[in-house]
Amino acid sequence: MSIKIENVRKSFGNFHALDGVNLEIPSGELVALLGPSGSGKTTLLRILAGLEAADSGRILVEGRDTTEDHVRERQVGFVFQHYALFRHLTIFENVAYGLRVKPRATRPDKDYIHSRVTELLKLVQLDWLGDRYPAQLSGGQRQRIALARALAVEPRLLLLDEPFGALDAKVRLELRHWLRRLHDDLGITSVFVTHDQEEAMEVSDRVVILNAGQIEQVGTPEEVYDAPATPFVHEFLGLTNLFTGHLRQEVLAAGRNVKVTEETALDDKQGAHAYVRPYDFEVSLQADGEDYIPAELRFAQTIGNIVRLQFIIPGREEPVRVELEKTKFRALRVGIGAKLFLKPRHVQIFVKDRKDAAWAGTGS
Amino acid sequence: MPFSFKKRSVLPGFGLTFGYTLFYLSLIVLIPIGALFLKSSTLTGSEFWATVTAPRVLASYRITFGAAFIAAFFNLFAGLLIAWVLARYEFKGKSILDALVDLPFALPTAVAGIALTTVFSVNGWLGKPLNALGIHVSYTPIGIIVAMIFISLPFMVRTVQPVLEDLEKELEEASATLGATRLQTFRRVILPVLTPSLFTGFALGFARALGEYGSIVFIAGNMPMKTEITPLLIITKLEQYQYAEATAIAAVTLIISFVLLLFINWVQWHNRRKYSL
Amino acid sequence: MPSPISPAPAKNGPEVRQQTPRARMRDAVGEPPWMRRLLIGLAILLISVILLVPLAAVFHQAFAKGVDGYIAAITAPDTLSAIRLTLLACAIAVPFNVVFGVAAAWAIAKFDFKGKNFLITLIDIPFSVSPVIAGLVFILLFGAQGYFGEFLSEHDIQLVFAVPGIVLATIFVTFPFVARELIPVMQAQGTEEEEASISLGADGWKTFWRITLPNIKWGLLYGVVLCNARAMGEFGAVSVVSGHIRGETNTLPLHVEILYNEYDFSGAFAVASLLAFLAVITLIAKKFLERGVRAEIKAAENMVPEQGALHS
Repeated sequence: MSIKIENVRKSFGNFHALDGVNLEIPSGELVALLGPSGSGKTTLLRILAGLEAADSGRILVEGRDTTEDHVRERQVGFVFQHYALFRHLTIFENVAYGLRVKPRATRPDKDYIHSRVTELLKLVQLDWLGDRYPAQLSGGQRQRIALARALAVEPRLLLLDEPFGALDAKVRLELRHWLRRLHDDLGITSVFVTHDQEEAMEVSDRVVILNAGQIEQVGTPEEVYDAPATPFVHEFLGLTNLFTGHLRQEVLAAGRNVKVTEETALDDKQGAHAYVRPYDFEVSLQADGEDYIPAELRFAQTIGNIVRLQFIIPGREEPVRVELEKTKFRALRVGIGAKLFLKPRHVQIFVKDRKDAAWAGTGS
Repeated sequence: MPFSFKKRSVLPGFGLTFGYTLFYLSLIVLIPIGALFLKSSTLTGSEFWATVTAPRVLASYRITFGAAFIAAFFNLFAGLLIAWVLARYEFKGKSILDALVDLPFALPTAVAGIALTTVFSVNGWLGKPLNALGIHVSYTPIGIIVAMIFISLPFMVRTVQPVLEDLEKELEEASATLGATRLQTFRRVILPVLTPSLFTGFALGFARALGEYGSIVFIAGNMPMKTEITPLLIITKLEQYQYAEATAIAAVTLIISFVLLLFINWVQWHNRRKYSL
Repeated sequence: MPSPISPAPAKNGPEVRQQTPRARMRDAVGEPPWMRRLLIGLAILLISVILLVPLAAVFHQAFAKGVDGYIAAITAPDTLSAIRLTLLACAIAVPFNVVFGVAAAWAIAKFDFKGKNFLITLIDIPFSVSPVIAGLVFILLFGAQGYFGEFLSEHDIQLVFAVPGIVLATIFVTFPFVARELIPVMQAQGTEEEEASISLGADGWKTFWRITLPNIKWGLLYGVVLCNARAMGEFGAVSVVSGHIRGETNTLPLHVEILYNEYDFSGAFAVASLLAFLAVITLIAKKFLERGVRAEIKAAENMVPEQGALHS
C-alpha cells in the first residue's frame, strides 16, 4: 500500500514538531524514520496512525485522502515502544483482541479467532506462551507479542515506534534480523522509528532522516551514507572530523590544507564544510606529496581489531580522530608523541549556497 | 545479632524503633482490642449466640449492612465518575473540586451529621424538594444511606483516581489502533485495570460505613428495629450497663471489619503479583 | 505537550476553520466534547449535592441568629472550655502519634524483616475499627467494672469519663495517620543516603536529624495535619468515654451534639462552624502539602532509579 505525505505540519505550543513534511512511501517497503530525539519522527508516525492530528497537510493512502479518518478506521498496526500489552489479558487474548472488538457483522467466529491467533503466535515463535500473562514474559517476547497483536487485524500498514529501544543489545540484534525476515515474508508496507543509525541502516529498504521537524534526506541506506545531502546527515550517521574554511580552487584551507582529490566546480572563497571519517585517513611516516598533513599522535586506544587514534594538527584545536586496523598501526612502530602524516582518502564537502542557504554536497 | 529475623543493615536504631513500635502498638491497640475479645469470652457460647442474634440486634445488622452496601454501591458509580473527571479532564475549578472530595475526611462527623440532618429535613434545602416528590430522608433508612454515602465517597474516589492517573495512554491507543470503539476500550481495557481498585474502594467505603456513628445518629431517628444502626445499639447497651452484651455485639462487628481488611489486602497483593509489569 | 485525553480548550482563534474535523481526530483516544461536558457536569453536581451543600448549610445555619448570636454562642463559657479540652487532647495525642509514626516508619521502611506486612496491617487496625468500639475498649479496661477498674478506684484514679479517657480514645483513633503517611515516603527514599551518612562517620541520631528528617518533612507535616484534623473532630469514640459532663469532659464535637439535642440549633451550628472552618483549612493545607509529599517521593525515585522499579 503506497502512502503519500503532503506538506504535513504539527506544532505543540511553540514547538514545531513537524515543519512541512513531504514523503512518499512505495508499497511493500520497510522504511526507517531516523533522527535525534525531538526531530519529529515519532510525531510523524503517530500522525500516520491517526493517533495525532496534523495541523495542516494531507495523508494519502493509495491516492485516497485519509487525513480525517479515525484511528479505528485506518487499519494500521501500531507497535508501541513499551509494547502497551494489556496486562490483565493472557497472551492469547492480547493477540485476539483486535478480532474480538470487530463490529458484530464482520467479527470472525470463535474457531477462526482461535486458528488465526495460534497461527500468529507460531509466526512470532511464541505459540507455547498463549496462557501466560504479559508480566511473565521477557522484553523480547513482549515485543514479538505486540507485533503479533498488531498483525492480527491484517493491517494495511505496519507502524513501529522505536521497536527495539527498550531491549538489551543482544536481543535487539536478534530481533532486527527477525523483523527484516518477517517483513520480507509478509510484504506489508512498514514504517519504523529509530534514533539508532546502525539499526536504520541494517533493517530498512529506505531511510528517512529527520531533523528539527524537516526531512533532511530520503534514500537507501547506501545512498544516505555515501552521498549525504546535508552536513547534518553526514554527522548523524557516524563519527567524523569536520574541517571548516573556504574553498580555493580545489583546496580547502582549514588550518592546514585538506586537498580535494577530484575536480570540483566551486567558486573562490566559498564557506565550506569538509568531513573526513576516521577510517578514511592514510597514516604514514613520511609525506609523499602535497596532500599529506603533518600531525602529532596524542592518544591511542586499542578496541578489538582496531586502534582509535587522536592527532593534533598545528593550528587546529579539535584533535583529528583516526581509526586504523591494529596490524597497520603496529606496522608503523610508533608511540604517543610521534610525528606522522595524514592523508584523507575521501573527503565529503558541503558548500553553503548563499542564495537559498541550502547545502550543496559533493563527494570526492 | 539481636533480631535474627532481620536482614543485616549498617543503619542503627532497629531495636529501639521496632521495640517501641511493638510496645506502643500493644499498649494502644492490641491490648485494648484483646480486652474486648476477653470480655466477650466471659459469656458462654449460647449466651453469646443469643445476644448477637437477638431480634433487635439482627435488625440493626440488617439496616447497617444494607445501608452500607447500598451506599458503597452508589459510590461505586459516583466515585468512579468523579475520579474519572478529576483524573482526565481539565476545567476551571477542578482543584477546588478535587480538594472538596476529602471533606468527609476532614469534617468532624458530628458536624456532618447535623448538617446533613438540616439539609434533608422537611424544610431543608434538599429535604423540601425531595419531600414534595414524596421522598422522606430524615429519620428513615434513606437518611442512613445518605450519611453513609457522604462518609464513604472519598474512599472510592481516592482509591480509583491514582490508578486512572497511572494508566498508560498507550494502552488506550493500542486498543484504538486495533479497531476498538471508545466503549469497547473502556469495557475491555480500562475497566479490568480499574476493577481491583473498585473492589478496594468499595470494601474500604463499606467498612467505614459499617462503623460510622457520628454522622448517622442525627439523621437516622434511631428507632429500634427500624433505623437503629449497630454502633448505636452498642452505645445503648453500654448506657444500660449491659457490658457483656455490648462487647459481644462489638466483637462480631470487629471480626467482620477484620475480614474486610484482610480481603482488601488480599485483593491488592493478588493484583500486584499477577499483573504488575 | 497537551495530552489527547485532556480536552484541548477550544480557543476561538483564526484556526476555527479547521476545528471541526481536526477536533474529531484529536479525540483519537478521548471522549467527544459533549460527553466530556456531561461527565464534568455530573461530577460537579454530585460533589455539590453530597459535599458542598452540607458544608454551606453549616455556615448558613451558624448565622441564623445574626452575628451577635454567633459570637455569643462561640464565647459561651461551656464552648470555651470545650475548645480548651479539644486543644489539650490534640496537644497530647498528636505528638504521641508523631513519635510513634516516625519510629514505626524508620523500622519498617529502613529495614527488612519477616512479618513486615503483618505489622503494617496491625498498624492499620484503628482505621477499620468503629469509633464506638474504640471508646468501648477503654471502658472495658479502665471503667468501674473494667479489668483495671478496681485497681484504679483503690488509688482514686479516674481515667474514663474524664480527660485521660478522652485523650486515650483520641490517640487510638488517630494512631495510624502519621505512620501511614511516612512509610511510603521513606520506603521510596530507600536507605542509601542514610548509609552514606553513617559511612561518613555520623551516628544514628545525627543521620536522622540531618538526613532523614529534611527528606520527609512534607510527609510528616501532611500526617500531622490529617492526624490533627481527626483528633479535633473525633466524636464517636470520645462520646463513649467522656461521660458528657458539661464544662469538664466536653470536647467541641460533643458540645455540638449537646447544643443540638437541646434544640439550640444556631448555637450548635455556630460551634460546628468552628470545626467546619478547621476542616476547610485542613483541606487547603492538605492540597498544598500533597505537592511537597509528591516531590519528596519523586525526588527519591529520580535519585535511585531501580527503587522506582521495586515499587511499580
